[in-house]
Amino acid sequence: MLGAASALLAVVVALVAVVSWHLTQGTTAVGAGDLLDVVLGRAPGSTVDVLVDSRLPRMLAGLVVGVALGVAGAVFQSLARNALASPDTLAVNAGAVAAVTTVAAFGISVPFVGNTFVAFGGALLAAGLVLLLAGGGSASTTRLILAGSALALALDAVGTAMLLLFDQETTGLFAWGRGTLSQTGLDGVESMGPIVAVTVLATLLLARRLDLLGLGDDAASSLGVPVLATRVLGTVLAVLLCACAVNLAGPIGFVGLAAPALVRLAARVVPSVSRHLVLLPMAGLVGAVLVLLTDAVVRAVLGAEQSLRVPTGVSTTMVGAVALVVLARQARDAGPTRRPASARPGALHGRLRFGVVVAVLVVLAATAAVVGLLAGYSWFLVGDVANWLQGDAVPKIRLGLDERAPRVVAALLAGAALALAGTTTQAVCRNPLAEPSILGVTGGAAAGAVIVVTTVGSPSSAQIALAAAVGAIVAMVLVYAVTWRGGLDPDRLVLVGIGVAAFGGALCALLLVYSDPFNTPALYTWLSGSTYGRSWGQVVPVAVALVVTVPLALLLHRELDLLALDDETPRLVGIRLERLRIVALAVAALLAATAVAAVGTVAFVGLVAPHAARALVAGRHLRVLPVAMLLGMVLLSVADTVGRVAIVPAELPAGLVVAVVGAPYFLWLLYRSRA
Amino acid sequence: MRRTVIAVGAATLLALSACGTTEDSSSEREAEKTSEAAANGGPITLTDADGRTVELPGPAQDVVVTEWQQVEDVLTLGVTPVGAADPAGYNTWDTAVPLEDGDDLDVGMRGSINKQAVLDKDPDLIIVEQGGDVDLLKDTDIPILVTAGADAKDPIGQMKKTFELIAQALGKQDEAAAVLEEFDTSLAEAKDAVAQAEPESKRFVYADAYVTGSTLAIRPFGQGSYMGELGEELGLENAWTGKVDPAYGLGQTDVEGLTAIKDAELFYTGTESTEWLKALDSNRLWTRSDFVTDDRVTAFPTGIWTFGGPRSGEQILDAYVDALT
Repeated sequence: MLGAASALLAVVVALVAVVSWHLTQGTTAVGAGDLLDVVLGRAPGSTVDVLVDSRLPRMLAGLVVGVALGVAGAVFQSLARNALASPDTLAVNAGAVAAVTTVAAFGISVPFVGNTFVAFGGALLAAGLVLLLAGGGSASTTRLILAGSALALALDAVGTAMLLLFDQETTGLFAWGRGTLSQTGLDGVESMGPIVAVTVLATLLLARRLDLLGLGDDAASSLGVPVLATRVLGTVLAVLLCACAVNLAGPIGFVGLAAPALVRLAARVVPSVSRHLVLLPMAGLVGAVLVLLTDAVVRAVLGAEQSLRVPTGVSTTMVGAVALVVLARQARDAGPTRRPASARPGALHGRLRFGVVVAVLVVLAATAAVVGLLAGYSWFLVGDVANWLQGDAVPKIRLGLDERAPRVVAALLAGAALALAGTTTQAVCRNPLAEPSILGVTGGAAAGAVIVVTTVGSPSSAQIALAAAVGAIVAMVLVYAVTWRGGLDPDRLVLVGIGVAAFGGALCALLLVYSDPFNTPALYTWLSGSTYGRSWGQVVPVAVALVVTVPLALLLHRELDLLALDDETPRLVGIRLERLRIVALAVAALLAATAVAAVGTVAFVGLVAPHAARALVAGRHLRVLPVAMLLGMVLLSVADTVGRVAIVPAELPAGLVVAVVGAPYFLWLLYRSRA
Repeated sequence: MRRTVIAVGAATLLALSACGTTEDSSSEREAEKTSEAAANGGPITLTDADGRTVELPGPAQDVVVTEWQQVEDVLTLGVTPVGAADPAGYNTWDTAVPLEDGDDLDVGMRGSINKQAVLDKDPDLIIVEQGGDVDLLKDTDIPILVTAGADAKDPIGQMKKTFELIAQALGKQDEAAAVLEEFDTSLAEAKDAVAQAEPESKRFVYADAYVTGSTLAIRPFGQGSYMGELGEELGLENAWTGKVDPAYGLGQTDVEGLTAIKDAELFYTGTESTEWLKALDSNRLWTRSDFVTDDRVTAFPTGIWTFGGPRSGEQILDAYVDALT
């Protein structure tokens, strides 16, 4: 216990130091000396006002948000027994943000405290839906996270769509949408702070139950823990903490995931820290240090005024990600992340069923392609397409189809590429959540592309594709190199991957915000995946990547089957495990990079297509691979068409539509396969 | 499963049976247009903001415009565009010259226009914003005029340059000269009015702000902004000297940062501002600041596009005069 006490003390000391530094920073010259004068009671009133109505609100907002998210993340992770559980991955933050954004977009002005109810309502609905879909309190951790991330993607899409469609009405929501500590005054902290404090204390009452829950549901209930009640109560408390944090500062990303993860890693040195009575407050304090230290460093580097351009959530994500990657590398075991290998067992189905599924999907994909060509601002007929193919369409139709065709093909090919990448990644990582975007590959590709887009005047599509490929390879090599420690632990791979992914995403947002702060709709379009303005030049790389990787993946289908089982079986049958993993991950990286060049960052296809494929034709890769690719093609192509037609002449990015269209299907799939 | 197969088959058949074409012959109209253009004053050759050479058979009549300042410019010159980006939004945010029958003209959002919607309007000129839609539209035969929306080095000069460039393309140089003369007259009159009124402080800051939940973002229009520069032309001094972006001259700050403007007048947009003003009611840094205690905080009327053309500029000048006299 002594160890725990000194660990707590060390964090408190660190927090005090960070708080002191943070208070000396601001957009006026009020510095440490002036603050000392305030303490000594000899400062002018204006200096006191600066401290009380500007410095303190920002510092306290960071403190309250950090504590709330840290504790909430710790509770979620313990309830789910999964280090990937967090306000972000359980759709809680996304629910709160979507609710607040939707209300604002419809021009309904809600007073601040009322907004808490909106945020809490959205967050609770999201969490409730996740629990319901995952099969209630007794759900397996995997199902919980799967349902959560699927819903988070869909809700993010809703929120982003609102921002895109109502860009003027929601201008102020942009900074908020990525998390900001700039406060109007102490009001926010005064109303949220007490709620957070009381809720944190309430979570401490659950500490012993959470300790026992770590032993497993059966063990816990045999020791007298009411498992279901604990889950529900813990979830409500953690959701409330997240709603308060979102209401105060928007979604401050990654703190809820990183803070408890850092504490759990510290438990290697000081084991008593892992007891929840210590772990929960530690996670809260570490969360506060993370938020405030990040904010202070950014302000020190950029200056207080310039740093206001950088949403706080973006910088916490970058710092949290680096910390997580560094510490995850040193961990032998990254926490309670062990999961069963597959989303659902699934019976073996006959060859006939496989044939029928493939046939139906081929017809669907072809239909999607044809409808995609016909549908748009002006609807064409098949005869128009026939004329165009023969090269004798009238100019207006020729130009129309010249624009539409590469977009349709980009959606089809990128859909296939993302699905294939997702399938191989899930096999390598033995984690149903793993997909190129979670392993940082998509983020790396996007960062590469965005760096070129923002630094080179008007880059060619070849330059963008090349930069995306370089970014993806850098990300993959980084993830792999950092993860490698005499072997590749799939859990560590995912943890490091999430860190790199978050870093890449934040870097993109940062570069785009900084290069063109007044073009937010365009930024959102880029970040949410769109075929807008695509030409053949961007489509060719995906086609080439598919031609290279599809035969390779099919050739390796048996190895992928074995890889998805466990570490031992492939070795037993003489497979060179590491080489296979590198090949499979390289395939995924190549596909993800070229897909980013073609359609931007579309996250959902790589996650949903392999699962749907396994649900349809069970787990053998010889069958899963083609089915997943066809599903990916259909999904992204339909989403692209819907996005082009739904609110014509304006457009919705395909990536948003794919989340809105794909998520309910995915959730239904999860719901249907309840144990 | 069987039902799915039948449904898909039916859908495919339905799609394939729609085998006609939507082609119509528009060559006659093309010819008509060309002769009309020639009759109106013959070919025009321009150099646009990207340094491209744009050749027109005659003054453009049917124009599609993809950014609001340029929409205002075209309307000011007496031409109603056949297509415009987000006309509804234009009419909310730019009231200088209203756009009638907005929704029929819609060609998509600013920054992501719909190429087919543009083509569908059959324009003989497309006016776009620099860095915007040129790549998307370049393979059409329709001439594209690239314009620069703003330049913080010379915002008023850039506004005039863009206006004159558009006027050349429309063959409306005389109208443009008249409008710019009116603008200069308004400027001179406004300057006199301000000089006569002898306001206590000649220092000012124009800003807009947004509040969400308890978070606040304040955007001062700093050195090189159209708003700020018009104020300076009136003999005032833009007190906001913080770092700004190179095109629009916009900065970023918080409540604490606003204390730097002490003795200056604080102007702000009247569009959607009640919320942030209300939120700052309980902030003593705000309520005790000189500009609030001395009642030097003034709203500009709603619907003034702060990134607009000469007519928006005249609205802005009027607002300054109203606020200071």
